[in-house]
Amino acid sequence: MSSLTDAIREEAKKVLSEGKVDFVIGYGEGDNPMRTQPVFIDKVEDIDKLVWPSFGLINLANYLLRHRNTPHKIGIVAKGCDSRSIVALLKENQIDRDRLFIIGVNCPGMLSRQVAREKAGEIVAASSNGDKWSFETTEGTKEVSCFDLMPSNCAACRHHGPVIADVIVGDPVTEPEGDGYDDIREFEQKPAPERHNYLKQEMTNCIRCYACRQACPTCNCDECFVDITQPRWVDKGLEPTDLAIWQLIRTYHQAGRCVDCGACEEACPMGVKLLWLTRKMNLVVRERFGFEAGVDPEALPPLATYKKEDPQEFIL
Amino acid sequence: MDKDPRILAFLCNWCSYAGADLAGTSRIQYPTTLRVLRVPCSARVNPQFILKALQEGADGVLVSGCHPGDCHYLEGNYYARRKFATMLDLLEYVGLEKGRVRFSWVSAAEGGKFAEVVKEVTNGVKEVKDTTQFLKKRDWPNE
Repeated sequence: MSSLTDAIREEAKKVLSEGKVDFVIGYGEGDNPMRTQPVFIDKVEDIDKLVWPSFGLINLANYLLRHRNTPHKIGIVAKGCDSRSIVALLKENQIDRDRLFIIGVNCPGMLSRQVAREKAGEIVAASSNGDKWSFETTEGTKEVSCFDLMPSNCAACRHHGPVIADVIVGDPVTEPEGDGYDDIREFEQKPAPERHNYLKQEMTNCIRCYACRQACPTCNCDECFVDITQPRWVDKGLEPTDLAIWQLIRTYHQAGRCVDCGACEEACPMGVKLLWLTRKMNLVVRERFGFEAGVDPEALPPLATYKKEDPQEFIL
Repeated sequence: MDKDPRILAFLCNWCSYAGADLAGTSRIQYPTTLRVLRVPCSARVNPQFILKALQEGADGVLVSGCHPGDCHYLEGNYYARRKFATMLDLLEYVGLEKGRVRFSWVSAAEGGKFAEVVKEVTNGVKEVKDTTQFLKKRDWPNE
């Protein structure tokens, strides 16, 4: 067991036994080595169910939303992006800070099932040995190093440590240089028809299962615009423009709220490149309004405020 | 495109709609490509309206409101400006041809400017090569 697992268990045990929280939301082992599921620990005896996962691209802040109106005090394990999501939720008054005990983790980065599937093919079994993972696939055994299994958002991450926390475990991670959006800028250089074809091609894979929406802590509307029937914004079915518009508007609704945790893309059963859109939205918000979601608890959301001198070069 | 484009225009009640009215009563000539939809404020225009218009067969979309500082609701157009900036950047990123979605500020006293804007937007839409981007394919003709 890794030292982070031990440290998380120790902190969780402390808050549980002191009665500071009613339960702790953390990562638990899934039904195979590449799966992680959330666990809700309310007894000290169960503390061994908490782990620090390798393939942990789920956002635990999502599970706070189910306790918007409950009286419980909640402990939550939060890596960098989870803590940013918590800030985003606090900002939108979705939950009280007083009810939370945040066990922040300095996250070295997660591995992605989607990337593993791209690199190795159809995987039937997986095991780790040190800094390599070996995958048994339908076409034989393949070994991939951990570094190559990182998703694009973790590679681009500049907030490995928690933004807010009551206690922090793990050693601080040195943040890399640059802002991490080089892949997006590179894509922007392609001619427009090529970009549009890429959108069409990616979106035809979408099956509208809404796993991306369910995995996302900031997709928390009581009624989502795709579910509304009067007016019906987006028709049901898999017509290509409906698919594209569903994803575009979902991305647009994330403007200034998406923390780039990658939970949507990891949850996608069809391997649609969703971060390709949300990361662009983050870049737009950053370049136009100098805002990064969930970093500054005091700053107003960019679309809920304005400056008189905002650029308007696109307006006739 | 050969045929006259069809452009859906969201005009704010207090400025651009009155500006269009002034252009008409002043007998200023401008292309007959707009289909005008009056809205209370440019901030009323949800970016979903724009995508829906493209999907339902509009060749272009124009959103026009009051100049900054002149909003009837004091600050609606400032919020609208931020919304449109983010949406336009996203649409261009996914390869929407330039010139299909346009924004303008036209005051109630600017009949001449309104005519100029319509000309400019119409010419822009005419230069667009592929107006079927985001056009919904149906079992029946879109016409």
